[in-house]
Amino acid sequence: MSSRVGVVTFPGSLDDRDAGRAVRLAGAEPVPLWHADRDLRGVDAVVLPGGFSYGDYLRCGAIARFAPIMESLVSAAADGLPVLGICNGFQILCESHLLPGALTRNTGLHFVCRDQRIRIENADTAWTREYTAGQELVIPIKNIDGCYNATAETLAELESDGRIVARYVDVNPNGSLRDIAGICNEAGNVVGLMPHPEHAVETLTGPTTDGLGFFASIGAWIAGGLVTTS
Amino acid sequence: MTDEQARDLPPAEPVDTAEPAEPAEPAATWPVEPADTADPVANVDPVANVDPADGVAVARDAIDAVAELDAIDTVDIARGSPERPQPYAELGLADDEYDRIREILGRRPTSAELAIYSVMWSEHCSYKSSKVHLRQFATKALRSEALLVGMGENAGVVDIGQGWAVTFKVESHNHPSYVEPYQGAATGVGGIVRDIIAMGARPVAVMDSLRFGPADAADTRRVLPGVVAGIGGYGNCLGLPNIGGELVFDPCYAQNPLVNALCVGIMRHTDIQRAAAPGPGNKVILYGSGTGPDGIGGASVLASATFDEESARKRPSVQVGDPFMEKLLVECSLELFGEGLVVGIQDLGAAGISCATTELAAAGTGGMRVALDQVPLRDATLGPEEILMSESQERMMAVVEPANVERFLEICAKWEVPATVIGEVTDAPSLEMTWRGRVIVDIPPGTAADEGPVYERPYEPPPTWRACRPTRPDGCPGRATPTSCARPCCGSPRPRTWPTSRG
Repeated sequence: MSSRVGVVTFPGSLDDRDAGRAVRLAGAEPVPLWHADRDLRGVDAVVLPGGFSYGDYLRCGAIARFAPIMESLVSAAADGLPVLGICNGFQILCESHLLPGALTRNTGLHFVCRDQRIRIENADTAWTREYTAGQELVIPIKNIDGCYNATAETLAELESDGRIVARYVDVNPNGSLRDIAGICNEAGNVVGLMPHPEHAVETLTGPTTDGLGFFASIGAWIAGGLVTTS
Repeated sequence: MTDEQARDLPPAEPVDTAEPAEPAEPAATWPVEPADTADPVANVDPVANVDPADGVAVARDAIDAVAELDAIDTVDIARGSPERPQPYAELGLADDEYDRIREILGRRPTSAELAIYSVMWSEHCSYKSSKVHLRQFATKALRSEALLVGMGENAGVVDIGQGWAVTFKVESHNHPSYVEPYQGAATGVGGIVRDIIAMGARPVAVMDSLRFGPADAADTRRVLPGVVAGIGGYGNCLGLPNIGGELVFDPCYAQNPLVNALCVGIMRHTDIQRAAAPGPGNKVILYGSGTGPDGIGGASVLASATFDEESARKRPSVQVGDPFMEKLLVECSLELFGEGLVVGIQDLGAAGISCATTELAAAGTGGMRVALDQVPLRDATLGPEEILMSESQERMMAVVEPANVERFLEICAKWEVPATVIGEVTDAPSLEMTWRGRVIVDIPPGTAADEGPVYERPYEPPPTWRACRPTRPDGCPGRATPTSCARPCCGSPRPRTWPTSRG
């Protein structure tokens, strides 16, 4: 049986359909989850997609952090449920304190949209097992609040614990410290990523199909018995 | 009440006997005698249960309330006061246009009716000077079976095969973008996106075509960054990539930039929606943002007693966009269409409720009755004329069968989109609107929507035109050809890519 991967739709989510499609192309079953529900519908993993959750006129993700679905998600993530936050999803994970640090305004102050080269630094997380450490991918990035920031202590901890999942290569598009494109929690089940792997799953619409691995990784993680389903 | 407010009150005139007696002097009506149970002031007792110290303030409120009711220009009052001077010239109507309105109605228009005709017959809404030229598109264009919806609807629809169709529309928002670059450009995108929704399609992309004065002019530097950011920012919040565009700098656009935005949407043939209000008894639902004082500068000459000069100064002439609400409108509308709950749909843009009600009713099977009091407001002091002229963004109007209203409101509630039944379709040939229980609009809707004035203005080529006219597509330096449009940017110290690299 294929794994069931929930995709949360907030009212301002924009990439929920693409994320669901990526899940399906990777061989798993996408399960729609609604921001106002507390029910995670027994899914094996959850994707928080990109967009503007509740408009984000306040700090990005600051209101989404209080969504009913997030109450269930925060406790399930603590129990080992794999969670992938992409772009706005990454911002929500930081606001929810499932991941350390914050995403702030790009240092160039402009919205950035480009095909971005990144390097996978940690291929042991729930969402990167299909890759090898050091592998380079090209996937789209599109944000204006994607500059990863954290204290020196946090950065040192992320480095020493191998919790930097991916770094920008060639160009740092938003001024992120240490070229950070993605990080994970200590257990490796919660991953935040600023670029959009769900937009690189088909050659017709994406620059590559390099993004598929994130969604394909989850099957191996679950098969390994490393997750407690809620 | 200030002297200024008192001057704004209409002069005492003979009134129709069907109306409650009008006081010659508002102050003379105090203490209030309840004259009509439908009147809100009937329940106002200015002296009951109040601290004597508050009595004066309460009495003043009651007087203001009476003054507001007395200031309502009803259809009956209009019949009985044919000679009342009206500020039609200030609203942009010519003498003969005003006479034509009186001829259509057989009386002078009420101030609310004057508001409707003035915006619907404006150049902006009626294209009265360009209509004769634009009509050529309908008569000269090659016939094509691929054109599923042509002129007259919110946007054209073109068949692309296998049951799919695309709809797209390009519209200018030049002056607002010059006044307030970010919001002007952003709301320009918002307007065309709602046109695409109103056709029943999912918007998928945006494009833009921009013309500015010289790249190094101070004014261009003031306007261009905001325009580019506004188009990109609003579309991005809706998930709409900007997939292309063009940018030309030329001295002729100094102080007069052109800001055109295009939206494209996709749909199945069977998804096409129409802007019409058929079926007497069907409900008219306004959904989306509340109505505020956006873009109603012209309404100030119709000011009621409660609309003082101080608040008039605070009112913006340029609308402010809320892309998050627009995103909700997209999803909510597509879900409503998907369940087959909508028989007619119209977005609210220029001329707001005036345009939506007259156009829906004119394209329907009869008329419409609307209770303007039901319109949800962001500013409770708005009068009926202002509500009719407001250009508040992110609003839509739907016509729904009574049996489907409950489900319609449920879906709106799911997306947290405010929705209110404000009226119903009738089989009478008139658009009737009430305010505080009194009829303030009673017009044949087609006369405002479709039968505005059409002018054949004199025209001739400018003297310089022939010299500039290209003999080949790429033969005119400085014009909008792919090679020439990039050239003016080259001398700029700014990086050339930034306006075009914003996805």
